[in-house]
Amino acid sequence: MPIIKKDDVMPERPVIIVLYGTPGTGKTSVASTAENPILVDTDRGFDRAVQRIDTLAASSWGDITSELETMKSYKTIVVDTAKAMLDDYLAAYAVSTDPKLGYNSLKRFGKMADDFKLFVNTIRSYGADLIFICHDKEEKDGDNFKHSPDCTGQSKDLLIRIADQVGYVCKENEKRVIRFEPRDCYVGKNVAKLETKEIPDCTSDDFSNFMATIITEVKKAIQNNSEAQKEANELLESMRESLSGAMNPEDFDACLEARMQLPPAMRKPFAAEVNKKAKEKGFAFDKKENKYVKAA
Amino acid sequence: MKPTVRVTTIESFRCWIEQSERSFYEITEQSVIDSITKFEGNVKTRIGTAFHRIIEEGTPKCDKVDAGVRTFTYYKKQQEEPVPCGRVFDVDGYKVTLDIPQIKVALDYRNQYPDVFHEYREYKDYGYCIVTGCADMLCTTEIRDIKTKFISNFEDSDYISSCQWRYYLELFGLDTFHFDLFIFDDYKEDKYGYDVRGLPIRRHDPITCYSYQTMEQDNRYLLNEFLKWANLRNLTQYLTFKE
Repeated sequence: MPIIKKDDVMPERPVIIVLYGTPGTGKTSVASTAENPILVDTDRGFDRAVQRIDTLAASSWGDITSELETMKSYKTIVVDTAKAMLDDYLAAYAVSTDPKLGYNSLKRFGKMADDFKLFVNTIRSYGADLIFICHDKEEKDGDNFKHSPDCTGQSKDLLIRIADQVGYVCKENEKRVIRFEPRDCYVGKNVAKLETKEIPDCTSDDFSNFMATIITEVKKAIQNNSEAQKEANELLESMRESLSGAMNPEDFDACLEARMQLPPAMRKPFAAEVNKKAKEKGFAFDKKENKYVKAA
Repeated sequence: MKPTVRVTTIESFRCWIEQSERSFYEITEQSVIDSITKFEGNVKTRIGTAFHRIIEEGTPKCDKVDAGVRTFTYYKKQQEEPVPCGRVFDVDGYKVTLDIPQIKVALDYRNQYPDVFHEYREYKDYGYCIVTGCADMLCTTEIRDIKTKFISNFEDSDYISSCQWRYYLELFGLDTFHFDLFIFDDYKEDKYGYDVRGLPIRRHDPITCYSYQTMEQDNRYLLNEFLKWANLRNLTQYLTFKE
């Protein structure tokens, strides 16, 4: 695999999306509108989806891993549901490899997390995107109720941590929507800063590639962010180089002026660096003259 | 003069009022008050400070220490175990000792992010008070915060529900905040104290949080609640900050 240098733009990478919601909101149907999908059905619910797609009806972790090679020919792997995969199949598999793990939940989860990451990384290495579907769990949170993906605590943490987007599928004014922005009343994750997405009617043309379009938007946003980081890194490196060669007040003035090219969050810390360096060289900033002068 | 509030103080207050079932330790109103009036750190925070210092400075001032033997009590019996050589760091007059592999973990992490600003403090004027926070690492468009942990049993939500990342993202005007967790496995204060040589240290997957639309509203709400409480407890006079 080629090395990606620290200042390179990250190549477009597969993304991981978690969709959760109450039964009947169409999570599986929506996920099946991704590009060239295969459904890993651990919940025996594939026949309820509006459109049929290739399906792997799995009843154990072994059923899933034995078909990894087959998954290479798909662009999107939809796991329905993540809870069954993680909390049932993977937990049972972990205990089958080491019975002691049945009595040590911390170590069992460690093993499950390792196997799960390996699965995710294998799928990613195929260049395929992953969609995990979860049921909705409503829990009391202070005075409110909060919706979140239904998985045990540690599995949920793992899932949300690796996901790029976590969307809550719900009904609003008789329309089905996906909300990615986190709120007090539901869990969300919105790396791509997507607006609330209204799910088109399943008979409309827009529906057929609805999820594929969302995935494209997410990838584009991640790519743009990477581009911005690369530019900022290069700029900072060259400005630090100029600063290390600064000898006279004019050089420091130029460095201070140049900071305005940096992203806003980096301007003040860079100005502090310029000041520190100027002080070391015996210069001070004259606020009246608005330039560096020899320190008194 | 406007009061100046540290984000860590608001976070202690949040932990207390929310009384999370999974707080790392019991947080009482008194402990929040102490964090405002006389917080001096403890063994764990000082070990964390030494670790932070390596990440921040690369080669901070330290002294060599030879390999030796650690004595400790185990089931009421005196036990001994060998400890490797290491380096001693002076943190507020306390001698924190780390071994070379632990130092290497910190240095590898530092080298992973060369184009960053370390320990940069930012202030934001909210009109009626100033809030300040110090970012461990400001990396182009993201903030990375280093946490040293001494227990493995925690949940991501302990961090995700914190207000620290929400305030930091607002203060620094950024969108992404990573908690980078380093876990000293099996640390026991009575056995190791300030000398953690020989303990494995591992890096947990980063926990990443992103800004969201109502984040600033949430921050203002919590700040108001904090100030009301501080006023009630007559603590406003202590809300000052000097670097």
